[in-house]
Amino acid sequence: MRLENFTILYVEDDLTTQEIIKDILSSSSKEVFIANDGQEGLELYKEKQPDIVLSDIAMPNMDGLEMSEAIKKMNPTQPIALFTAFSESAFLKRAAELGVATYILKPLDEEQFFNSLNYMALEIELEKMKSEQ
Amino acid sequence: METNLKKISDLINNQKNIEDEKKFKLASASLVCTIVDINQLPPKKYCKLFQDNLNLPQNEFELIQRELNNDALNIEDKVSYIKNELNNNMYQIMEFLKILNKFAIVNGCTQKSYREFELIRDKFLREFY
Repeated sequence: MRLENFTILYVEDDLTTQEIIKDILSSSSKEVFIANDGQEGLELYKEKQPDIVLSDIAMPNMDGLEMSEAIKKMNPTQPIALFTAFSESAFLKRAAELGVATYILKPLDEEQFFNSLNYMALEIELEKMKSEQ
Repeated sequence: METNLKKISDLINNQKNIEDEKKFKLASASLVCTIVDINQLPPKKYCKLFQDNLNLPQNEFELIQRELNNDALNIEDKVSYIKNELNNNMYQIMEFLKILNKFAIVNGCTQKSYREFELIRDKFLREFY
């Protein structure tokens, strides 16, 4: 499991879902930061500079897409994954344009979830190795 | 970082001749066609996508499309062939996967196309996770 070396920002307004995912992530990653909406997520991102950002799309105050856009403006290579039931096609088109390339299918399949996270972790490791060469 | 098959091909030592290149393109196009229904893509858009990302101009793509119809598609075989051609090089494999990812999401992501991408991605990477 590569994830144990990585910090994760997880943004979700539904508290039940948040609790479940937080438990899963806490036991497998270095540290998890939790935010309840995009605005909070953005503030926490600036403060903690996590390796990976995971976010729901529809949230109050600032949605996952607006937050992703703001993060990508600060750091275009920031790995971001969005939770989606693939019913928000206009959002997903916009997300792809913003450079968000990883999606986590809802309802959650735990194995697939970890495969996606490990894929992102692998991408970060390789980018790091490349920049050190 | 923008990536395309030409850049990857240029870095692969063992793709020395046109036949090898054609075989590699055919295997790559097979995987793309598993992920996206190319008939659902606007023709202009897919032509540009295949040209830009897989170095496949329209005439060459049409030839390969005909071959694809006659080609018994075994995804495991294609993945294993491509991995081998990429010398099992993790960096090259990730660059290749970025191309497949782009095809999966570029026309508005659907659950089916993204799921197919994930299945193929995980076949490429299972020993690296």
